[in-house]
Amino acid sequence: MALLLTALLLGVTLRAYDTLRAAGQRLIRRSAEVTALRSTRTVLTSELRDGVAGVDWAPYPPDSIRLRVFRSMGTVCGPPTDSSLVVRRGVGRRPEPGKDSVLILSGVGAWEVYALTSWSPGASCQPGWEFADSTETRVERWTVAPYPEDPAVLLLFEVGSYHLSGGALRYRRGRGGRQPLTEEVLGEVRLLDTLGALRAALPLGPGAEITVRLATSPEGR
Amino acid sequence: MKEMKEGRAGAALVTAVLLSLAGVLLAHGALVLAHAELTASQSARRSLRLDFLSEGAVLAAIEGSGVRSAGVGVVAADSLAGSDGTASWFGRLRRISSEIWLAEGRAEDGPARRAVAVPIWRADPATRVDAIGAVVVTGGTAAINGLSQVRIEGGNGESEAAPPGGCSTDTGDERALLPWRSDVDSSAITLGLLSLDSLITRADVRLLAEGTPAPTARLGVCLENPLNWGDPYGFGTPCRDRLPVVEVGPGVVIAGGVGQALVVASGDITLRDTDFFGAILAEGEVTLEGRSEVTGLIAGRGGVSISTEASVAGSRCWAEAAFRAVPLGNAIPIPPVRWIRLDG
Repeated sequence: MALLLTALLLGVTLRAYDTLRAAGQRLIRRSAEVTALRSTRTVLTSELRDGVAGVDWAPYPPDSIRLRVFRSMGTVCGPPTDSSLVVRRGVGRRPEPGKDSVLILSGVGAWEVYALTSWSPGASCQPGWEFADSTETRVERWTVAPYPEDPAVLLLFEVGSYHLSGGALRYRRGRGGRQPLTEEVLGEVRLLDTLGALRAALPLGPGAEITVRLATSPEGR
Repeated sequence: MKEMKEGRAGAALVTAVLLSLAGVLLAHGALVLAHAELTASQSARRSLRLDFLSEGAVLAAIEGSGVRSAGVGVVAADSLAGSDGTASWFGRLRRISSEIWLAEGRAEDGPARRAVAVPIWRADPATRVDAIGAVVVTGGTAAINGLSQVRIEGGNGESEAAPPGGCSTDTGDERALLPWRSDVDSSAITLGLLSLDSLITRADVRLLAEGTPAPTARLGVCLENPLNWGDPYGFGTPCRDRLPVVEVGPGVVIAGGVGQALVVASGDITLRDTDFFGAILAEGEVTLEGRSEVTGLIAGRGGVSISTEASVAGSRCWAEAAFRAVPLGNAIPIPPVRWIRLDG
């Protein structure tokens, strides 16, 4: 009798332990999944919002988006000398000639793309070209090709692509490899370019799927 | 027997305690996850709120841009500010070049901050005159019967007339305008990013049939009607400061009269014996007949024709005055519209 009761108790205990362990694992997996989904949505909506649909980015369903990834902005703060520009650059990563390009807004209101050929820190703005709020900016010397006429605003960007593959959001800079940005827990994510908007269908748990809007699609401009 | 019972009860108690402990741990895990979700949701809500406030501040700055002015590299003095609960926002304009501005919006909620900007374009009269650069610009054929009919004059020309407010101190009237240009792309006959259609929508008055412009006042008040184009000669008179943007319908003849205006013609336009000051921008051909005199500049996409007795005097001063008449309250976000992050 005692053995029977002990075995029963042991069985119930093991069963309860197993159930609790599975529940714990589901909890952890769910947490990782939700975190990855949130990161995916935040990264993609933020990056796509910086660009113009059909001009700066284009979706390649079911899983890729190719885009200009804007890294920093600057304004010209001095007359051009020796074919370089004195640029007051805001926050963001520093320019990398050879990898970065520059989208320049001219004084007559036209955007043009230029190659960044050289960069050096430590320039200074000309008197009268300063802005009052210069605490979060750096003054640098940029050389772009071809030499721009009447540049006003400069947007530094790199060309890259985001991929929703292998269960993770991945970023590929230029022709480099696809680096995962999230844990590989996403399941099969699909990009939907319909109804004037770019959406992502994200699996969430068995048999469930949520669709989130990422941006206005090129067709929806 | 008693000891066995106590042993089983002890094992059950230990198991129950362990299971309870595991249950508590699981519940705690769920609680931690729920708390993380709540924190993330609150953070997302705050982020969306800051997006909304900063973008709203940009739009408010653009909307209010008609009353602002500043030199290049200077922040416009009158910024807009407000608060919404714990968050505060402000919008302002920075002039990047003669016609490019950044409409900035910034929002703060505790340690969280957001700053975005949109480049906008506002016509600068002096820059626009420089861009056109000629007394007569034609996208078609220029039929001018002799150079003497097109003159370059400093200041207000030889006339006794002067534009409202006089000439800008930095106008640089000594700079010559070309007599005419016929080598221009027809798209040059615009006011920068303002197309002729956009200018037409900004017109103060519309003239759709033949008429004779003349200053009209009653009881010391200058009246607003399609043929009142101000009074260029009337110093101290009620219509002295009236310099309207006039939309002129296709094929309309201006017969005689005097006026100061920015004329935007949606087709051909003819001035017959008219004394005109300002600028004429036309989709079609501009024809000066009889003893018409124009002081300022003319740009006609369909060409310009000046008869033997008519004349044109180039005047930066009058051309700028005409361009200053364009209501620029709605500055133009530069297409394609890009939202620029200022806070990394």
